[in-house]
Amino acid sequence: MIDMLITFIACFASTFGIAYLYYKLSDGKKKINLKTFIVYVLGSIFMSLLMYYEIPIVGAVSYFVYFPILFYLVNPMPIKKLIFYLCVVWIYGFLADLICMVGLSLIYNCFHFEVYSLMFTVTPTILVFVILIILSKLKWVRKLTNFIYSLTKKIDYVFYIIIFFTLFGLILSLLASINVKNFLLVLVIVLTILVLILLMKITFSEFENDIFLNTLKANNDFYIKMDEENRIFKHNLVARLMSIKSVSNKKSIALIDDLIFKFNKNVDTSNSLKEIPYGLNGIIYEKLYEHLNDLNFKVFNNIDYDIFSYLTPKRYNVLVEKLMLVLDNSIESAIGSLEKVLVISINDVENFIEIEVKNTFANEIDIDNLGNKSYSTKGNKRGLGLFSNFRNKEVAFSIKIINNYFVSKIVAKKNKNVD
Amino acid sequence: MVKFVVVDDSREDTRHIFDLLDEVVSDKKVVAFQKLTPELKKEIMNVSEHKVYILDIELGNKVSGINIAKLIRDVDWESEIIFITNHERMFESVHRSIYEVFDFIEKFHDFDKRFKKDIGEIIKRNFDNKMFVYKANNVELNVYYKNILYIFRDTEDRKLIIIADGNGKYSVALNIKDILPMLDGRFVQCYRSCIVNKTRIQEKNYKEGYFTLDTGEKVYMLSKKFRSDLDD
Repeated sequence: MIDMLITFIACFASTFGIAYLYYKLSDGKKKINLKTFIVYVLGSIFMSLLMYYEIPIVGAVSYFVYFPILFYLVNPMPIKKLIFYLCVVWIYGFLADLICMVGLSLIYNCFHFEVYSLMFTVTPTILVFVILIILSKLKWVRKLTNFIYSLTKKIDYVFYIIIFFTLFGLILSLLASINVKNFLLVLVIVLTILVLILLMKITFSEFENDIFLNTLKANNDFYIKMDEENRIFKHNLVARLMSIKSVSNKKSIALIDDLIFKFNKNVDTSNSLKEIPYGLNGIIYEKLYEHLNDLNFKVFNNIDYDIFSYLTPKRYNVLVEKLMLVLDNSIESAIGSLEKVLVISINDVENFIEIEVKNTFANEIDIDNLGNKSYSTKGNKRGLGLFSNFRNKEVAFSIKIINNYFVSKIVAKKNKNVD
Repeated sequence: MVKFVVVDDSREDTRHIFDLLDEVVSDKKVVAFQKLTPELKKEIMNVSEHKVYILDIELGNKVSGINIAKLIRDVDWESEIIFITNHERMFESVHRSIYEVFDFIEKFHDFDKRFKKDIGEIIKRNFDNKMFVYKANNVELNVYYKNILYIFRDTEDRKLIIIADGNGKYSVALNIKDILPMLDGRFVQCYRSCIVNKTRIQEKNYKEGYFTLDTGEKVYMLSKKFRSDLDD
């Protein structure tokens, strides 16, 4: 009975030493409650029974089953981290055991004490307990543990499991003298299972990544589209305000100018113009005003009636929208060219109002891509205007390049015939 | 036979132009209009004949000679246009290039001499105004053959680049084999990836593998392999 009690105390102390080392080394919120205490006491009794009846294999099993439960109860943490601490604590315990064994062997050799008595069987356990307590108090041990953990952070948790089971297998084979071949067989099976798990994990991760990337791409496309639509909207809104302005009185013009300036700080030419002509002429002159000295331009307006009264308001708005875009592009292109020619003609052709803008240009033109959303001769995030002009069918829009002239034609069907 | 279309509101001036034409061209047909009429529109729309339009700019009504030139150029880039004007040459350079006008002649400034010289040149040139036309989704490209200098394949973009007068540079999704039937006899292949307008070549150097154009540009795309086609 006394032997049993001594063994229990040794196990109790040994378990406490390991648990305390873990308690001190691990970070995070720790909790010690009745449940933890009961598990600790029951575990110690169980371990002492195994030790008393000399069942070392079951002892090793109990370490890798009982301690994970105890550790988790003391300090709940992710499995990956728990495995890491199990391994680390096991290594510290192994080293402590080694030191004790070497120490006791030296004492035996020097003083010839009887080391096979129960007292000497328990002594190493108590010594290991003392060493573990000392280790748990040493700051450098904690620092070393944290450093090792930081190194192993990038390692997949599957590899932790591999290390864990390898250690487990080695201990089993050492303690029970299991046939090495059998151990290797078990190890191969375990590793195969783990590789399969790893493959499944990788496949799942790839699948998850694919879904994530597709979602990301869809979101990205959506934001790009929204950004493009927003820029088209902004341009068209300013164009529509200009459209209203072209048929408004002075007070309305002042209000619209104020609003346009808020949308686009670059557009503030009207303040310099004393009187803006009515209708399309007003829009053309406002656009050209800044560049009077930069361009070799000519405007032919062969329509002497009020265009606005021959188009539906919607069509007039779209006509102005397209004209503004064409003027923006053609002015920029003409200024960049050697000849700097810009000719605007507004004609009445039977039932249609036709605006033709011809300009010289300097850039290389990709004929097949012109008018596509992503294409512009003027750089990134450009080219939306022509795309927008082609998209809206309310007013016809076409482009021709004739002998180094860029010819944009806007044709709007009249509401009623001109007398 | 060359067809002349005279549009002038002055009968006297028209008669004078007829006389001058008689002096320069023997085989001809001449029609005259005083303003834009349905008949003149019909004449313009008929592009089967090569014509020389002689247009007075100031026609005394709202449709000027420039408007008529615009109507002509909407459908016909092969006929020649000569403008006659009383005024000074305001925006002459602009109109000359945008409507491919052969000449502007002032009525009271050496008119007869200059008119006859122009007509003589037009007859000599034999209406070399054929165009290369390429239609893409949104755009139509029209360039006079005479203005195209050379065409080469951009190996990076895998497209053909057409180099024309006036720094014109156009990229089209065609290959050398596709574009050759779209051109006329003046264009020959001079390199594996290049076609040249041989009427624009000034110098050929097969040894160093380049040709020089009348614009002064030196192009290093000349191969002995195509020598027979080029030297024909």
